[in-house]
Amino acid sequence: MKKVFVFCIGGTGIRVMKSVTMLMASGMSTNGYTVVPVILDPHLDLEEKKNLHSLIESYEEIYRHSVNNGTSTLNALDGFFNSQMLTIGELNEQLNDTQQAAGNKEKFRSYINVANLGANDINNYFVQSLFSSKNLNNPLSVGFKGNPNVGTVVLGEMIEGADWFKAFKTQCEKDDRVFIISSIFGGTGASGYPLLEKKIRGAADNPTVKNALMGAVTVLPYYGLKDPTTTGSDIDSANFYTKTKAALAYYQNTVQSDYLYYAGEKTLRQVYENDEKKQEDTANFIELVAASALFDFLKRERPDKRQYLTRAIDDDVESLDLVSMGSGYKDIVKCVADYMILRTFIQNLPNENFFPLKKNRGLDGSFYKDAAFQSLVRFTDKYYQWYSELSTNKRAFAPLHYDNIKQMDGWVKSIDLEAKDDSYYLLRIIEASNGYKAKDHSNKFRFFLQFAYDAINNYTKKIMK
Amino acid sequence: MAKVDLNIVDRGTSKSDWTAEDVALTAEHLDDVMEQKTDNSGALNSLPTPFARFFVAREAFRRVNEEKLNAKKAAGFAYTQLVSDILDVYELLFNLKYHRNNTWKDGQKLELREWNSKENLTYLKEKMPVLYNSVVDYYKTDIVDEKLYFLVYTENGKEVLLACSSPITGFVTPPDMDKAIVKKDNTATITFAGEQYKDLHIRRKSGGEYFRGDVRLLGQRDAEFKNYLYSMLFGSDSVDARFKAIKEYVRSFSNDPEIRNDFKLKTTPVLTDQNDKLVINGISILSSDEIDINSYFTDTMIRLPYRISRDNYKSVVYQNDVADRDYDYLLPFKPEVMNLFESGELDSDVHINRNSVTVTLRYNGKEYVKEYAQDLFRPGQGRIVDLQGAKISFDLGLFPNILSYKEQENNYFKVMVVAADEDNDAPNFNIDQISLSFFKMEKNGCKEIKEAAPEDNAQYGVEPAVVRSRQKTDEEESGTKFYELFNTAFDLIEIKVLNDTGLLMPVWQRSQSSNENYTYAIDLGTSNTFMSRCKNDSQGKPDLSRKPELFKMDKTMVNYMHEYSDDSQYSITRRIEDSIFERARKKIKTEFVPAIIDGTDYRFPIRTALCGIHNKTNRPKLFDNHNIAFFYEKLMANDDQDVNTDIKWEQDEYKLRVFVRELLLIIKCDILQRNGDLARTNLVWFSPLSFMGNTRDVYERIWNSEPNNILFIQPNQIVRYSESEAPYYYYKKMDYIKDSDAVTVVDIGGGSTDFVYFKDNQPQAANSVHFGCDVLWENGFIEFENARQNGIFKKYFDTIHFQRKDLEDLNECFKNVDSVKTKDVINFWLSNAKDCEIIKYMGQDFKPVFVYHLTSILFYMAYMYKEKGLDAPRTLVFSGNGSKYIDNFISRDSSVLKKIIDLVFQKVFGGEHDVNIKLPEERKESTCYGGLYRDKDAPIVKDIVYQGDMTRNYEKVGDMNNNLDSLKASLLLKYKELADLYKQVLDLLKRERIIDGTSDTVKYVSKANEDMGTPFATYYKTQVKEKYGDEVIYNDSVFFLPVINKVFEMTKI
Repeated sequence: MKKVFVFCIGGTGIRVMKSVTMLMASGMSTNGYTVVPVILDPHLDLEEKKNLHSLIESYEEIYRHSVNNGTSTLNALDGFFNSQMLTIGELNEQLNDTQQAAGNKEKFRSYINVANLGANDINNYFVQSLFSSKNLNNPLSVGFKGNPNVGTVVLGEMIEGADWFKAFKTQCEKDDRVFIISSIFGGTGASGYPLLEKKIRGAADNPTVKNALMGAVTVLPYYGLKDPTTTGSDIDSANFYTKTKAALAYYQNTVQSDYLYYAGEKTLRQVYENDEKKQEDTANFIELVAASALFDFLKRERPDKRQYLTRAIDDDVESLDLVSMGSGYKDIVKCVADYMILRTFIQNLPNENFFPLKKNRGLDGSFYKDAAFQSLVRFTDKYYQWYSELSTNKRAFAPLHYDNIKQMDGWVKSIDLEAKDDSYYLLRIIEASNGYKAKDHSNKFRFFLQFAYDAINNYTKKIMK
Repeated sequence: MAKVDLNIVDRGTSKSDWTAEDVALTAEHLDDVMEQKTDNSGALNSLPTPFARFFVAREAFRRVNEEKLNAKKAAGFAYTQLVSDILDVYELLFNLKYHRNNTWKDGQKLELREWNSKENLTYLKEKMPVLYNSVVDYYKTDIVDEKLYFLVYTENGKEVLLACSSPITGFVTPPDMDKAIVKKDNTATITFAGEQYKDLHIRRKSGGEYFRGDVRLLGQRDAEFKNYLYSMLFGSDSVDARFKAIKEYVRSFSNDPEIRNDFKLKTTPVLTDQNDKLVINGISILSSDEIDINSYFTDTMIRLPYRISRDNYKSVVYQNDVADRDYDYLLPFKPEVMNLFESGELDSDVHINRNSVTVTLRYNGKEYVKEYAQDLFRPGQGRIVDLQGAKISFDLGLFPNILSYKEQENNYFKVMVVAADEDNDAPNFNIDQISLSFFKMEKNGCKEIKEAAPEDNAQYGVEPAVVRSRQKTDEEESGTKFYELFNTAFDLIEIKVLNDTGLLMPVWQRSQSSNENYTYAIDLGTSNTFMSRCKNDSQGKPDLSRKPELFKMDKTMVNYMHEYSDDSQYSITRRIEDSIFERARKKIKTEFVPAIIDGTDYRFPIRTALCGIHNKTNRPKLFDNHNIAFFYEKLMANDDQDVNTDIKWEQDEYKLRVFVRELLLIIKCDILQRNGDLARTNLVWFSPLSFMGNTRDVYERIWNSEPNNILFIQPNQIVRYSESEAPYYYYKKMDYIKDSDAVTVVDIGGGSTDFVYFKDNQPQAANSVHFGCDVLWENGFIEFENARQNGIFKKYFDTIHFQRKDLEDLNECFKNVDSVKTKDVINFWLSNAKDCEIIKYMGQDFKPVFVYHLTSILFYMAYMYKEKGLDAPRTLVFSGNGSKYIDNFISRDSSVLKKIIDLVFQKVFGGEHDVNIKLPEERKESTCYGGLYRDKDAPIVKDIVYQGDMTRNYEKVGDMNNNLDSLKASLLLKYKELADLYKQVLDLLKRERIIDGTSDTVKYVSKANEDMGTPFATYYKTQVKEKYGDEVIYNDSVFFLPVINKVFEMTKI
């Protein structure tokens, strides 16, 4: 099992990982790599972080259901949920993750033992030169509030002594890869990325880790926050670009990844509430783009020299479809279209009394009430929410029309699908089921996903042409 | 379609799938990124390194520079304040010397503490392992330098960190010093991130405060500082590349009009606490050694409630003066400003604006400007302290106001400070709250004349100021204070009023070198003192071809601050005295020397009176506690001052010295005003023969030392003549003495009467008795100083009144103040006789008393000459102010007086006599003038002692004690004879209708015939025997002891 350790640092890391998960669910290939997400964020109470954990758990559950064959495990499916995802805890059979290591309410001042200095110790001035009183008095549980200088110290320590990092070093094997997702304009991500790189490349005692093929996506500014002088927040998006410039200039001499992906916007198109405790920022196209970097990375070989990657869109418009994004986005559009079509099945099939697979594949009422399908339902609700956010954000990722199942030929903008309504797909599912003669398993849930994908792909593969 | 990179900068990617390049985004790529401004300092730490602050500072300079180049690229408050703060650090160190010398007077200090990375990181590894683990690697890449330096400011014992050195921007301020704009209720306020800076107030040299949020980028800073950064710190190509951002920012000022390519500056390396030069990543941080012009302005400008006399003092020059200006300003500079102007001519003026004044100082071709306002309305303004508003006023009097061209002669200057707070509600300003410092221009600059005392062997200095008087009521508080400068002149006064200061420069009169020299004669009489002046001839002797001059000056000798009118309708004295603020008027008259002896308001003769403070604990010292009472009989002294009118016979040498000293200082001033040669001055002083005990020694000491101290003359330039003989030479010169066969001069003064006998122009004998005209106004031998039994005094006490209110008020004061003696009151009446009818009344009421007084003198004189073997005088000349009672109260008809004298001579010498008599107009002047005319080589007159009897030699007290009965018996016979003579004189005067024929003179005759034996015995005992030892030569005459008492008794008839 070749693995890719995906380090998701800070709020942006979490949101990009969400997109990664969604893309994986909707069929994006990891090129055979098992994705091992490692979430680094000391932000203890962050809802997004909890949601991502929950999402990953759902993914894993669905995946497990899809490969479950009683006492044995089936190969991963093509299409939906085609790649395995494992947390570092599961991989190492230990449950600790980053959260327990650093995400506590201890103040930074105490964390670095300022009290050990006498009142007249000149090193007090050293500390005062580096950190503000507010830095020193902030509990670590609320993140680094846009202060990567603090993040560097805390995460450095967090990584150095953490079980998960030891587990990573233990579990990282030949041909395994490392991918780091972070933003450059925040606190945690901006500090965690170079730090982690440094720790990995500095793992002299572990050549496998030290030499692992490493990719990273640095998410550049893409959203704004409301004026902090009215909220008292320490985060001011007005200096995101300045901070980014400073950071990029600093990174210029410190980057150690083999592939470094950049994703961002030239202007801050969306402005969110400036509340760092919640960070309930809706899914954004740039996060999706950043997520796509992982899949690109997993397809690439070790380069001769460090590579810096960017991608464009064909037309600089507010609401993107396939044409305006450009052909490079076909795989993403297809994945999203596929899953949204799947959603119609998930919604409608349980109510379809005369669907043949009810009998011949057991997709009956009890199947739809079963844990596996219910997991899928819940995951799909999140997926739908995620896409809804993407399609209404600024800029909007909106390549689909998905509101009318009687006019499904127009669901992918700019492309006429041959399936004019859902009956086309249902027929193709029946055909797929009928065409599948193998007796290698009796996993109804797998049948469902497999035949649905066959049916959907039959029509949507046109997107890739 | 418009393709666009999903990146912050367009790298030209055309593909919509991931496209790889070999080149990362670099700083150059990022130049096109349009940044937003940020006002929030809390959001600046953008880099994943503990040393992010150092890079933030770099970004701040880059952003501010961008904004400078393109105003649309606003950097925002957060970055501009950071740049401003870092520039403040550079400026603070640049001006370190200035701050240490000027603004940090209360223990504030700045230190640069070295932090050695090797040593301290090892320490941190133990104490702060988490921090150590993080910084140890970053330090090597981000900082590199072996050392950091912490700039620590201490005030009131509390330390705050101002900055840390940085190899990237030179310095970084701590994040807690960052400011944030906090908006609340539509109001934006600026607050420090850290509480420890809340009370940080370091005055910026150019106004305002460092680090307080008044953002000043480089363009807004002083030219010298700009040039220092531009040329000296970041001008070199060898500056480390890590300084790029700050260097580019600083060098972007190449077109700034104040940037000079030829800039040079005297600097000193800034030192660390280890005494190392502060070098940060190769650049040496320097402190300016240059003169800082702006620092010479004071923070406040004192506005006076009157115009300063430009004749007396240099103060501000107005560009746009107005005629009705009724105020003035002290120069708003620190004394060191004069270091810039070697000539002593300050180049500065003032422009009066609507709500402010602008002071311009010109130096070295540049103008330096500071604006002052009463209510500050612009940052950097100084405050006008309006004394009128505070109801405070003060004035200075400088005496003497003239400098000798011989520097060593400028050895004494007195400055009077008079000040008052007239705030009726709450006077809170007093004389202690005004002080002066004196400065002198020397070759190497303006030097303060430090406080010192001559007795401490200081070569020169200012004696500690002495408060002379203070008056305090609920409505006002006022007082005077004196400064004395010894052995030095000065060029500048710094006046401190409460806590504000300003400068004033005296406009000195200056003497010129010439061959002129003078002789002055000083007749210090019991009641009056007279002074005259005579120009010397080429031989240094009084020019006998011209009449001596009454002492009178053409120019003032005191420089007061206030302006006075040039209205010739009033005397200059009045104009000066009346123009000063009211509370000072009396003080300058009573506690200081007159501004001028103008011959009108102040003229000689003056009353011999010394004003002094009640407090007798301190030794009398001129002006500090005593001064000549020129005001006497014109004005009452303040309640805390006394006037002493018994100076001449006072045993207190110090008081006499003070009196003589002031006279000599006036003389000095007069000589210098006349461009006279001080050192070639001659002095003549006079003494009565009747000085008893060591009194003459006291006078000798004073007259030998004080003229040397003040006029720099030697003892051989000082001569003493007998008061008795001096008038002769004057009268002879004036040709009053036609027949010089046997001439006597009778000099009747207040305290003594002197006789001198000349035969054929040669002095034969002289005698002096302590029996002047004051006897008429005194109380016999009543010991009590406040005795008021004199009959003349009592007669007019309630009846004498004056038309002039000031004199009437003064009369009331004289009468009601116990310490004022009867003779002083009567002398006051007589001095102002034209305003009352005292002479008329006294002549009518007390003529027999005056006749008795005169008869006694003539009788005594005649017997003395007779018994000494001298012929009866053929000519008799009266002198002395006291002799005026003859004219005033007996008769102006000299033929009558001649008859009296002839009668006396006939009675004593026998035979007929035809005496020539002379009562010249210049009665008092004659002594002084005579002293001037007397040939120094003329034979010295022989003093004789005469006790009224020559049957024995009664030279010493012991001679009399041993033969008292014999002496008394002889004298009783003489008294009987005197009484008879007195009756005959009265009869003569009746016959001559000088005394009304119906007048009852019997009681006077009867009184004259009353027992003289008892009073003689009594007063001999108290006034002679009990006072003096047997060996004392008794220069006075015991003859007058009962006569004095008799006169007193007669006043009471």
